[in-house]
Amino acid sequence: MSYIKVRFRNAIKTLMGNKKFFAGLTMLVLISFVGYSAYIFQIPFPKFGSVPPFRKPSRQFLLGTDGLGRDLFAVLLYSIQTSLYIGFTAGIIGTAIGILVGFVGGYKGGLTDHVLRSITDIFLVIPLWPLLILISASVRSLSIPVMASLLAAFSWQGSARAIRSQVMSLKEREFVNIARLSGLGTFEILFKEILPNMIPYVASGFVMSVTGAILTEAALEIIGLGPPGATSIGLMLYWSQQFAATVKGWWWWLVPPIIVLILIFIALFLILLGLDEISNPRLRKA
Amino acid sequence: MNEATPLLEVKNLTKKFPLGGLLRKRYLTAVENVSFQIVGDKPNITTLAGESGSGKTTISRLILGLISPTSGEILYKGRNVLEMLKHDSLTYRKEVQAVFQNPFESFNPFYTVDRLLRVPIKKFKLANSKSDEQRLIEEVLDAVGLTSERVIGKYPHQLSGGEAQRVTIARALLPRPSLLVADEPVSMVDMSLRAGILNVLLDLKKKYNMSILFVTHDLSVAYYLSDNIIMLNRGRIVEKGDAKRVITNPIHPYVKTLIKSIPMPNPKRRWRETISLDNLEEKEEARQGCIFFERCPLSMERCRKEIPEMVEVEQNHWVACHSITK
Amino acid sequence: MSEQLLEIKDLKAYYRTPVGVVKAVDGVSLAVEREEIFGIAGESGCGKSTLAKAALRLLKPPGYIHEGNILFEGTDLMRLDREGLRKIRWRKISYIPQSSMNSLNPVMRIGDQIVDAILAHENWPRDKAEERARKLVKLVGLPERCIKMYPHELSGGMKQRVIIASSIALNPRLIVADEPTTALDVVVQRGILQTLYEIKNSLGASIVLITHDMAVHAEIDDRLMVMYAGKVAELGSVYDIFEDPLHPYSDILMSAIPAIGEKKEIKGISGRPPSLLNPPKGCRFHPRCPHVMEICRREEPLLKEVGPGRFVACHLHGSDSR
Repeated sequence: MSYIKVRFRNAIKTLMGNKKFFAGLTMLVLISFVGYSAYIFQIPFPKFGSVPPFRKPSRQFLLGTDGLGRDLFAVLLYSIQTSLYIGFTAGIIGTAIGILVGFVGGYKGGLTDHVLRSITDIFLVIPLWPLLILISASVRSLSIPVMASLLAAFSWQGSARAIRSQVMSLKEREFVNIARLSGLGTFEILFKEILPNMIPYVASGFVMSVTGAILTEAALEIIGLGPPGATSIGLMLYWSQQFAATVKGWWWWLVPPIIVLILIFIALFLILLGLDEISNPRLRKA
Repeated sequence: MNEATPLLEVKNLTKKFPLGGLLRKRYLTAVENVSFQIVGDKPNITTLAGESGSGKTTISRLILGLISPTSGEILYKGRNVLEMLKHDSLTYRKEVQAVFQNPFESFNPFYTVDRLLRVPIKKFKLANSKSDEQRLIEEVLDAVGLTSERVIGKYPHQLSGGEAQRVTIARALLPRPSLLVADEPVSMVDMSLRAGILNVLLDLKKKYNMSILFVTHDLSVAYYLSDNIIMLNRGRIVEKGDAKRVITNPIHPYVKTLIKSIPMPNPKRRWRETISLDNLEEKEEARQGCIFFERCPLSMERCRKEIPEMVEVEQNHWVACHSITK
Repeated sequence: MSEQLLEIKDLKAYYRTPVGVVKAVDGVSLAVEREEIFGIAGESGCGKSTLAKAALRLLKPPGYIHEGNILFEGTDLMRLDREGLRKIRWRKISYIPQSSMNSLNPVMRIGDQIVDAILAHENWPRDKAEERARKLVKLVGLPERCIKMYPHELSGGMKQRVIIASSIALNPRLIVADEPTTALDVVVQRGILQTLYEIKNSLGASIVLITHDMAVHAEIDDRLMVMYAGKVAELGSVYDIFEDPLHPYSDILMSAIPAIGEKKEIKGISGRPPSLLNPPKGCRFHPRCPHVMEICRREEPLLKEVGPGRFVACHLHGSDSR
């Protein structure tokens, strides 16, 4: 098993060595740090009406206050936490489902694969937006875990398909036959022979899931479908719209969350580019 | 098992692969009604020979249990192989091992080369301690003419084709198998390195008391190595028996054409006559009579309808052709 | 004495890679006469494919010609511009690359592909090209109805014949074929080699046949050149070389093939193919040579003529110093 440790160490070295990946990861870590620094600086969760509304940015309120009586700086910090939390949770659940479906379908083939593929395709075909709008309309509000699960439910298909086709081609490789002749069983083969060669795909799939989840969540909230009690970047933008902050020139309502969203997106994108470069040596600077 | 039980016995083995088509199920018959034996009393090398599409690789995969037959039986030392693989697969895997054509494909590119050797040692419980394992690895590497410094810690792309193939042979030797299935082991290796590997196989037959089922299209190599040969054409056996006899005195028209077409490395003995052309792709349905009917210079009406039986024409030399049974 | 069809003088073709310059062809000289089959033998990595591409100026970056002369019927190909080269290619020299039978367009009929190849180089009316395509298909031994078929309907051997047909469409003087029969079954291979031989006679063309298979060389070559690590090891008539291989590497290539009917032990060599980035000093074969001497480690042997038309680069046969 020591070759796994060696491989792991080499992998970390390669990852950190790649400029894009390192830059993206650093950005992401910094942004999360900013978000979670609320606990370090003991900034409480901004409740409605906790401070006087409609204040401009000042020393006391760094980003001013919003129309519901909340310190916008605190709102921003907690929004970062929420968005990242939802994104990563949806990403992890989605990728896990995708791996399971892709692996089992790809390796087993036959009827199992047929069934799993059909399920995948059905989910792909269901229009996400109308469904979420319907759910929101009927349920009034979605709690954060429920929203994350919903996002996950619609983000695993991409991974599943990509993983399935990779598994199908990998299982025909001669080293899988050799593994069978060496006494390895089906699950051992999946995890020790096939999975290690799929890490780049799984990693990219994960990052894409997270990116998709964060952006989709923000988009849903901007149009007003999010959990109103919570605070997230999308909601910040939603409230800006509701109060027509653009018209009134209250840039401190809009600009900070947009910048943060863009930065998160850039960070994730850089990570993705870095992963692509590492797994496809031809993309590395020749 | 007594002395007379063959090491491997293949009985009426057939394999058909389904080809797409939801309504009209079509099949490709890769192997049809193949029967042969490998004797068990002393180690010997049997070659499964044929061109591409002859079914030789499919037969080897069936024997290894990597695919399952449509019909027919495979018996190893008298026991049904499919049953063994279901209930007692480790025993079978220890006794029957394989080496494949592409040395680099046999390695998982994620790991170093020595993992290929450690996995069977662990799964077959061949060593009790780290030092035991090390000793065993050195022993098999030595048997194929390699040293451990050359191999340990390296990745597959750091070895040459010949070295990589030797490592795969070393892996196969670990559980001391009685039968080694070697599928085109030298066809992807440089010519100057082939002799080394072929001689290693000959050597191992003696030292490890191991029989080899050698799969190839190269009859010169088959002549050099084998004791027995089985000639296949589109899934059926057309001629089989003692390798030297079959190759120097072929009887089946297909085998005759094949052997005449082998280029001789001697400019003073070049091909004299011209040969006729290959036909268009044979239709799958035309399998009623002799498999070679459409291209055979000796074909008769009987050949169209009747599949010829395998007949022993001289000691250990069998042919399936109507032209000899008048 | 008619001038030679193709003369290559001290050709060096290299590849630029991130880790250095790979000297794939490092000083090769040869001459191909009219109406002969000239074979180039050697294992993977010896430079034979690069030599073919470089000699026809088909080498693409990161490959490049470092130096050398390539004279075709007296014209220096190195001095021709793109238009000049285009006039020569296909009309005077044609090239059949490795695995070319797999590069047939799967959605076009065979006849149309041959016609297209012709029309790309000549300004003929379409029916003239079609007539020619019909003739060519028969010339290579295919039934005329193949014209209307698609590549997937043909076997490997038939596809290769199609490739050969289009390569001789404009009656070239020289055909360079790189591993034309490698993936084919032995009976099919014999048919293709036969066809190539017939083409040499009926067209009066020369064929440069590149393959690692020594038995194939024995069957149809007139002359043969053996390459190792980017250099010429031996060159001469195929009868001479097989009868008495002078270079130890040629000797090993001959004895590596088990011949039917002969019960002699086959020989091989150990070690690995040499790095073309950092070739061994002195003779490139010395680390693996069974007859290595002290001088072989220091000095590279030059290609010397040791008999009429017989060349070898080995210290065992007339030493030389650089």
